[in-house]
Amino acid sequence: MNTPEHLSAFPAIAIFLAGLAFFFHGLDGVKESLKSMAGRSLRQRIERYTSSGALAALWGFILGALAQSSTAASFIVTGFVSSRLLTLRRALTMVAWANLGTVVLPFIASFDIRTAIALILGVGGLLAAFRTGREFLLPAWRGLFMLGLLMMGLQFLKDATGTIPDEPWFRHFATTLGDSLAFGFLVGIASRMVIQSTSAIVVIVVTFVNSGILTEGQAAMMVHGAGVGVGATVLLMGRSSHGLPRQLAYFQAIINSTAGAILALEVITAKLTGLPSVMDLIRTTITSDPSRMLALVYLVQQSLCVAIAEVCGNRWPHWLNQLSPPTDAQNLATPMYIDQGAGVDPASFLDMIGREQARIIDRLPDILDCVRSDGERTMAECNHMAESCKSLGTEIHHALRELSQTRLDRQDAEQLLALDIKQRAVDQLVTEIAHFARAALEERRTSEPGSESNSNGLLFAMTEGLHLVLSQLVECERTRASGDVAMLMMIVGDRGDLMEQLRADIAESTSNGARPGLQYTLALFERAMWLVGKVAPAAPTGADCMPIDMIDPPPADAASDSLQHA
Amino acid sequence: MNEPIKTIPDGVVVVLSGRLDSKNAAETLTIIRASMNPSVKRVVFDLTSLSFIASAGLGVLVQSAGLAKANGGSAHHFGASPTILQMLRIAGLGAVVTPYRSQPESTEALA
Repeated sequence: MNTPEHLSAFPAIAIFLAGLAFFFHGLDGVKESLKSMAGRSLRQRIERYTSSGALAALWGFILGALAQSSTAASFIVTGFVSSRLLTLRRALTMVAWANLGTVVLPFIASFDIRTAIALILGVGGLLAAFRTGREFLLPAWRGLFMLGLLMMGLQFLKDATGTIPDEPWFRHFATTLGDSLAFGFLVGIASRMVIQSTSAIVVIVVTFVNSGILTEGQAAMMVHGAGVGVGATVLLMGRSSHGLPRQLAYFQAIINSTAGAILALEVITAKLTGLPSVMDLIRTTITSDPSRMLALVYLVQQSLCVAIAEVCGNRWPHWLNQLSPPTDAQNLATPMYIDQGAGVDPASFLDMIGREQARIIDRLPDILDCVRSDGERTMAECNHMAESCKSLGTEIHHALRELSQTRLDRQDAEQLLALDIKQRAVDQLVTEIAHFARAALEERRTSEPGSESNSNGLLFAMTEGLHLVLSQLVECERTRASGDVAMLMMIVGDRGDLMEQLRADIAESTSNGARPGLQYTLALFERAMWLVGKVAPAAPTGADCMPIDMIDPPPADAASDSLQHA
Repeated sequence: MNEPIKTIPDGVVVVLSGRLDSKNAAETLTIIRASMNPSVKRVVFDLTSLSFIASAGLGVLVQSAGLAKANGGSAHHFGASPTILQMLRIAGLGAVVTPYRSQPESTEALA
């Protein structure tokens, strides 16, 4: 890893960009790994470790001290919440106390986390590369490696910006502004937005004070400005998030900005009225050493963050829900029934799993929304919905696996097997619908002017046809009426001849401008239709339709085959 | 819809015109449901003036076919434009709402 001295050989902007890239990839990786690990047993373990507010606070403090950045701590906790490993209330406590944990660095300014980062990267990366231990540990090793990547990104950001105070232009700028408190405050905000660690800023500010660039008052204002900068940074970095992750970003922004603003007002009031400021009190009662004074000012600020968080306590979730309501997709990803399944008999638990499965099926038509004429969702929202379906599907598989390890009677075992088979079909259906929506949207975007009416007409028919079938599936799941199921099976029944005809039509019109991507979309449509038949509730005996098991499935690789054929 | 439902000896003819989508599908289905007493064995959709149909509109056809089937009857359509026909075919409604091959035949069937 590069030190600031070595960095002089590289343009700082390149290191800054690399830092950003490591940070965001690391963040995604940590979230993904946590999602893979987020089984019920791990969740129960983490619930135990954070069972009380005090325990959550302790873990938050440790996380802040290790990460040395309230931003990093906040995003790591967001990963836990997104993966449902942590409740929002406990997450808020952890985030609040992580701020206090960052105070450790200014007190031990010589502490260098580069060695720790290298160790995390090395150990996590090697364990993941050699797939050490049992299979379920692999996401943990990957997560460790990604955490190292995230921390290395932050270190790069700090390194890239660490030499700014030594730049002649900065020193000149600082001296021309004299003892302006507003200047200290604004520089604090700006510094925090690029340096990504308030504790690191405190360490830098000490050098400014020692070299006479800043007065003690300005230094204090810079620390308070950095508090407001945390809020701006967290909001900026989390601007693409919605729901729960955004709630945590708002929380972090509010407590840090409020604490920074209150203490900044206190400094200004003290200057205007002549009353002693916090800094003056520290100087007269504890220490006159600038580095310790600033570390204590920072401690006061971070303690105020925790106090603001704790004073409002249980009201935060309500306020945050109003600021950033959970999205449909996030609500879907949260199990409603199986989390309450502890201790119930297997038959009731299987019933709960069935209801959870019905929740996924209920949202399947929404995945198509982005490509429909009267759909209201964007592509990103549809993808998010599909991800949430998969996430809830993973929960269902975990629940089924847990139940399969208990003693079941024949009837329950058969029901478990049926639910497992159905869930696998639902998983595949979610994937196919999401692929179809993406392919249809892409095909519509790229269709050539000459072929527009033909290909777009076909795309529209496929989209609306698939939406109809998914809506009927939802209806069947809701009513379980034999007439509805029979009707659905008639619709998705043997369509081999029709598909052959459509493939031939498309191939024939290719010379007239129809795009080969249409064949691919058609294959996805065909497979989705077939899967709907697999997911549908059992067809009633004697129903006027062909059982879906008697129909040859479209090959799993039909899409790629048809593309090659085209 | 102007005079959307016409009565025939063993059923009803439903005249659909303009656009049939999520905006008017529920209302159309309510009107059809109101006319579907147990003696209605056959529901015939006149699609001559239908210019656009979306998923919700297709749902109206499926639900109506379900009601007819529950009465021991069937559902049919005639007069659909090539675009609407393609929609019905691709959506898989060929067996659910069967087409009368041509208007004369359908007129004869309605007599």
